Parts: sequence; C-alpha cells; structure tokens
Amino acid sequence: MSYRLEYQWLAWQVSGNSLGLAQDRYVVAIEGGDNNLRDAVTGKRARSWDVCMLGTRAAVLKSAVDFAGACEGGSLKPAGRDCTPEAYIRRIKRLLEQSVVSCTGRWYPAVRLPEQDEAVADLLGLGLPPPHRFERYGQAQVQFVFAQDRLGEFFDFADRHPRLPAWRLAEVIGLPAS
Amino acid sequence: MAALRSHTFLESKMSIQSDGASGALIDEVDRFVVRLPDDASFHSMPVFVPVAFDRQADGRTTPVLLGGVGERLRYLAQYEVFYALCGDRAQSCVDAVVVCGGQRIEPEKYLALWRQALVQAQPAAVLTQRYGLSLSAVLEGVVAKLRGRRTSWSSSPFERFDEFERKYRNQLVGLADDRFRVSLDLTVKGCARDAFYGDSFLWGADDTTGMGSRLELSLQPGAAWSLTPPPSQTALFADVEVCDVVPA
Repeated sequence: MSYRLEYQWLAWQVSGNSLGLAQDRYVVAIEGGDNNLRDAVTGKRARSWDVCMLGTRAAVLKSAVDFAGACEGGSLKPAGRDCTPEAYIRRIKRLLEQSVVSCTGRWYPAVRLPEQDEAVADLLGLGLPPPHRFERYGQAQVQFVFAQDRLGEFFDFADRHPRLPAWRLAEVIGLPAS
Repeated sequence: MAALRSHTFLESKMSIQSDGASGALIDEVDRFVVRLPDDASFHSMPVFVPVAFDRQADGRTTPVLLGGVGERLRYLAQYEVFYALCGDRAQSCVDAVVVCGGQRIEPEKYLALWRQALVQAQPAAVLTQRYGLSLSAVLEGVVAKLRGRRTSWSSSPFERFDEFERKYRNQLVGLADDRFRVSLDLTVKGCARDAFYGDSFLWGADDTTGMGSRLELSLQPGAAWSLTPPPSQTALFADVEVCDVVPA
C-alpha cells in the first residue's frame, strides 16, 4: 500500500490588519510525496512543495485534523515515521506558532480550478486579469493570479469557498528541496 | 520532475468539512466503543463500533453511531475510527461546534478521549448492561435474488445464501415484494460474524437494487437511561485537560 511522506513544513503568517481582515491568515506549505514514486534519473523519492493548508487559524487547524485522519492507518508519515493524529495536529499547531515572516522562498496566490467549477464565476466577477487556460489529465482548467495588492480579496475568496483545497488556491516557489 | 509530482494524497483531501458555522452544536457527554469478536470479519485486526452520547437541548442524552456505521453495515478498524472522527467531529471541535460535557475541547484532546475509549472497548453485551442499549445488525434483501448466491469469502460460514436463510429462518420477517428483513442481536455469539458474511451476499453481486443493511441501536424495554445522562460523566470530564499524547 502506498503512503504519503512529508519531509519539510513551513508556515507564513499574513497580518489581517494589513489586508483589512479581522483575523490573521496562514499559509502552510509542506514538502511531500508518495513512498512509491521515484525520480527516474536520481532514483530518489519524488517530492514537491505544495500549499496544503490556507486561511484563518481555525481553517488551517481543520485542514490539519483532516490530514491527521490519515496518520492512524499509516497513509501519512511525517518525516517518514508513524505518527498519531493527535501528534500531527500538535505539530501543525507548533508550526503556526513559529510561522515565518520571510524566507528564501515565497508563496503566491494562484487559483487553479476546472473550467466548470462553480467558483470560477465568482473569480470572473472579481475583475482579475484574464485566466490562463490549460489542460490537466484531459480536463480544461483555468488559473487566476491575484496581484500582491489584492491579497485581502484572495483570502475573502478562500473563505467563501472552504471546500476548495489549499493546493488549488496557491503555489510556492524557491523553497529548498530536501 | 514535474511529471512526477503526485497529488494522490492531496486529491483525496478535496472534501474538507465546511466551516461549521451552519452546523448545530453537539455536546458529546460520553462515548463507548463496542469491540466485536475477532471472527466478526475476515480482517486480521480488531473491529469496532463507536457510539457517542450527545446531550440534546432539552437535556436528554441520545446515542449516535459514528463513522457512517448506521447507514450501512460497517465494522470499523481502529484507523477507520480515527479517519471518521478526523473527517467530522474532531474538525468541528476547532470552532466549538462539537463540545464535550459543555466545555470547549481541542481536537487532539478530543481524539485522545476516543483513543482512551478504544483502549477500554468492550463487547456489545456491556453496552446493554451499562446503558440499556441493544446493538443489532439489520439486513434487508430480496429472497429470490439471493437464493443460490455463493459467498465470495473462503472464511464465510455460509457457502450459499440459502444456508444463511436456513439458519435465521425463524427471524426473517417477510416484507412486500418478496423482500425480507432480519435483525441480528450482536450480543449473541456468532451473530456479528453471520451479519458480516450475510451482508456480503447483499452487496457482492450485480443487482443489489433495493437491498440494504445497517447497524441499529435500540433502547431495551424498560430502560429509562435516555432521559438522564450516565452518572459517571463528571469524573470522565475531569480528565479532559490532562489527557495527552506523546509529542511528535
């Protein structure tokens, strides 16, 4: 049975005041990958940084609990080790307390959705630049990018659509690979 | 490298629970885990049925089967219990949509309470003794479609459905359209196993339209428990703040 390995974790705290929001927002990026996927050249287990949790502290904690559910059965192994769901949630809580203001890499909002997703109409109504269109596994997708001065609108959008997973809402760049 | 990026795990995390703002407040005041006999399924690990006790607005306490086990006959392994809790009630602890004994509780402490309940899991007979609740498996099907159907499992005590029908002939209740219903009391030796393999006849083949199975809790005649919370609660919730897990 395959399982997911997590190698590195990083959280950014975004001040709610600076965006005109009542609460601070958090972006949690995790470097991870499946245990049975290997790079064809190096033979090393494939891994990538992804934004896995995003939003208010409560929204991030809910995502952490959701992820934690996979720990008990061994489908998720942080640092390659067995872990209880309780310990995983504590790990993410500690991460939020130690969140960074700046580091070598950064995150940026990039909403990628199937063209037919109901949230696309909401995005079109925000007056963003025209979306980039592409295909993923044969399905038409659109990507909307929010400028840095529209982060408040971005987090509002994320709040309005809690069903959208964080990795569909934002990307990371420049983070060191393990 | 891009082609190797895998979102298999992340894809499975697409249906995160809603923010709970619209969810009703759940005050979970007690919990009990039924440990089924080792032969209750073909899995090598123990299987359980988690029961939560929720206090209603009018002060009554009602039992609730967790993990979707009330919707389909399902026995949960320990990891499935946690998966179910993390997908539902533990998330709702974050914004206090689920509270315990009227007190806000952190999700990891909530899970620790269930871990404790799993360690202390007891047979269904103890649920009956302690709470006056019967746990039973209810199977429904169409007799004509099931007769002659062979089992898919070598560990099944019934080679064909006909043997299951013979064993429980006296308990089969005839319904309209050649349908039957049978209710198996899980406190009776062998019934948890028979229900599991009986259920596999219902779902194991092509046309299962109109068939169903589920676990049910019912109050024993004369039991007045549901009107008042169990007396052990105060002591139980004194532990909430000290119940902890090994840090990662």
